[in-house]
Amino acid sequence: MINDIKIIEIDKNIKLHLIESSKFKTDLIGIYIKRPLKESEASMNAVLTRMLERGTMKYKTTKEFNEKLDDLYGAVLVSDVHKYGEKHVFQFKMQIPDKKYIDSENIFEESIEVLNDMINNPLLIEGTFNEKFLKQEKKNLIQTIKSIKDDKVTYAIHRCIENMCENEPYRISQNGSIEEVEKINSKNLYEHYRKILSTSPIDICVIGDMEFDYIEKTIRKKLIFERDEIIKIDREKTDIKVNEVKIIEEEMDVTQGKLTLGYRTNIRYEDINYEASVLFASILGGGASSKLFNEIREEKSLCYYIYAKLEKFKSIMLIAAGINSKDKEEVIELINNNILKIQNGEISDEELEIAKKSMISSLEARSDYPNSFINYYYDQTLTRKKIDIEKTIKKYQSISINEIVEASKKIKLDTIHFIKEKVHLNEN
Amino acid sequence: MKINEIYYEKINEKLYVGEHESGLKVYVFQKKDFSKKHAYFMTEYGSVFNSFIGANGEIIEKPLGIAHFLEHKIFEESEGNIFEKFALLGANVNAYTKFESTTYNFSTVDNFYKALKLLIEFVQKPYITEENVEKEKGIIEQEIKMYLDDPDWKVYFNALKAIYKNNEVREDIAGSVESIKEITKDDLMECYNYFYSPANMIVFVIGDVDKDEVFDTVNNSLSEEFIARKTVPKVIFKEENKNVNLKEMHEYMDVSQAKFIFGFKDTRKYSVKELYRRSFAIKIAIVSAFGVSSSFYNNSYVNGLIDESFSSEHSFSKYYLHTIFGGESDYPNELYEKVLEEINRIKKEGFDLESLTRIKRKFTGRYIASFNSLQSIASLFTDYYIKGINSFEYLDVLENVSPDYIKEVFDDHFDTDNSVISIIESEGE
Repeated sequence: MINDIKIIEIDKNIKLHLIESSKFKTDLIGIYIKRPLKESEASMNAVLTRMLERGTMKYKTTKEFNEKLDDLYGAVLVSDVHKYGEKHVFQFKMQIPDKKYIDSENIFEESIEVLNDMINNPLLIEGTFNEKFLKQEKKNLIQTIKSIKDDKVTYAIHRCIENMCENEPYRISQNGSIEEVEKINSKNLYEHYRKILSTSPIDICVIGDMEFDYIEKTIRKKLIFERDEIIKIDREKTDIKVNEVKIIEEEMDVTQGKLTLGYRTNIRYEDINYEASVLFASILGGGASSKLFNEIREEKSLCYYIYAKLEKFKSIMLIAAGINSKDKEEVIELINNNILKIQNGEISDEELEIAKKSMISSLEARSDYPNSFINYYYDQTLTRKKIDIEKTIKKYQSISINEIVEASKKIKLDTIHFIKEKVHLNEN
Repeated sequence: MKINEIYYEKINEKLYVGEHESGLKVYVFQKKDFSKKHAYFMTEYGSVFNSFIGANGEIIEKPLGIAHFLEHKIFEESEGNIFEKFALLGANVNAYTKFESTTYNFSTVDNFYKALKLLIEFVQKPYITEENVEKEKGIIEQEIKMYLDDPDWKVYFNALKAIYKNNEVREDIAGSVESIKEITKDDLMECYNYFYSPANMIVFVIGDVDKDEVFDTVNNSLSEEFIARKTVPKVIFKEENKNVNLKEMHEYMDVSQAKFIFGFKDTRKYSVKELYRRSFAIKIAIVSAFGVSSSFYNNSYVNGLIDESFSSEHSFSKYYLHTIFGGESDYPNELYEKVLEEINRIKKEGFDLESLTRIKRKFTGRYIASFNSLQSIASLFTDYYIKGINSFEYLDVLENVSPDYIKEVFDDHFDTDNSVISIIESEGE
């Protein structure tokens, strides 16, 4: 249950969102800094989140920094950067137990100080980042980029997007690329960081059981950014024409083939039929009651996992499954047939009800998790929609089978990506 | 049903315990203002329970992976689709098999009591036929293969295979593509009747619920056949040697950097209470000595031996006891040597006392924070229940762990001659 929300612009394009909820035993602060998703800065952003964890002017080593967090009753501090469509958003999160449950009156103030230290007073040597640390973090980041291929399930999806969106910023992964990491030096990185702090839109969300005045006062006093002219960030392009379906096959050392299909939904989140497209994806492949799961797994035993999922900002739908390579054509045909069925209006009342209930129940449960609530809240601010869960629920309730059928007809298959097992020749 | 109430002052929370005449225990943990409500129906039957004593005293052995197979088949209905029945109530149903337990659970915002009735009923009513058993083999085969492509899973189970020679925690929970082929309808029904008995099961409910309505709903959903089932499982465990099975396990997979696990085996036997207390000592010790605020972690990070993936975990139960360190590194063998050296150094020189105090404080804060998530509360409760422990006594036990005790337990537990290393790396490294 969310008791109250208040939004205050505390500085030029720095919005403070105060969210009161009394049921949690913690307070959570989330700082979101918005950037465009660009080849030239994605890797810099990613390496920055790592550099900031290496220490501050006050806590000069990671050891001292982490000891401070232990002292704050195991405060959880996370700094990372996420893709929201074609935006790249820094997220700094700090979670602490609420002072009611522990023996520490000033824990919130102290935590804001630590957060401010990490973001605004990072460890510098002669006015720039530590070269030795940077070299290490570049190496670690390159390793992280390489490691995408270790988990073949995620890698398959990654490769499908990379091929499908080869001429769009969306292909850029959240950590950028190895080539871009290699171009980074402490000078260009620090200049970029100063620019980020002064020119990016910033949202600060605080959720917990504290007086709004107390939070506002503390944040105004302890969290200080230098501001300049604020950048404009464009909305994602979604009207991409598909002339021919791209078919890509890769061979890898796997026991199980990984199939991924990428579609353009041709419906934007601002559109009137956006919610209908969400229900379409859910009926098709949104869980154990979906058409794909029932036919391809339960009836035909062709897979263990198969699902469909929407990317809201980019108007893309992905279908993923792990299968035996010999069953590939059959599975693709079954997927096509199920989409056709929906387009022909074959949706039962039960299927509609299940899809609606599942969406509504997940909306109602948003406020049960502080972190997922502020992430959802921030997601809504990106679409410039005012958060109104009741209204969204009503919208879902009102959708008819017909609207879903109409939404399903706009979908276009763009890319079929398949990872198949490498054939090992017998050496005897 | 006989109902008791327990209040935990430190966390300001209440637990209600109902005991049905059949031996089934029902726990209700009220959390006001949360939208979702969760229910768990758990049996003390997991992947390591493959040999047991039958009604006539005979020893029965079943193929690996049978508990997990049974979990899949419980979802089969004579008519209709159980997933759909839950989904129509707005509920999400799922299940998982672990080493020592199988759990069926759902979560929902609305229609909670209807869904609870459905959960209790469908687990009591398996519909297993020769035909649907055969059909399931294809699905489980794909599940097993999915895990075989996961290097983190492989490096972990390879480490367990190195640590243990006989103990079945070394085997994949789902069994193998070969072992599941042997499983028949009769095998599954035999295990069902043996392990799915009231005295071997519990119900755990958490959320903004009415406790009396929960107890009534469970009470009214129990079938006569279930209530009459009096089996108390007698499981046979193979004796495990004090020494590790293999010092090293190496496997090649297509990975970008070597993945490693170091494991430490401990075959000493303790009472449940003592195991619990010891687990705190070991957890505090390893976070203090090897966690992100330790000198070891910081030096190794600065020297490029580890990255942020480096972590440790202590696992304990009535059937196994070990601690592992894992992560990714270009130099896993060197790191292994360093970890062994550090353990021996601490044995000689002792812990940094300030750090122990700090880590205890961290554990307190993290435990309190875990009460934000109903799933965390539930999974800690059910996991510990199987071990014979009440997870809500956490802070009381934590308080009573002294630095001397931590040192004493650490010295006993870590035997550097009885450790293993498991590595997954790509060929040509």
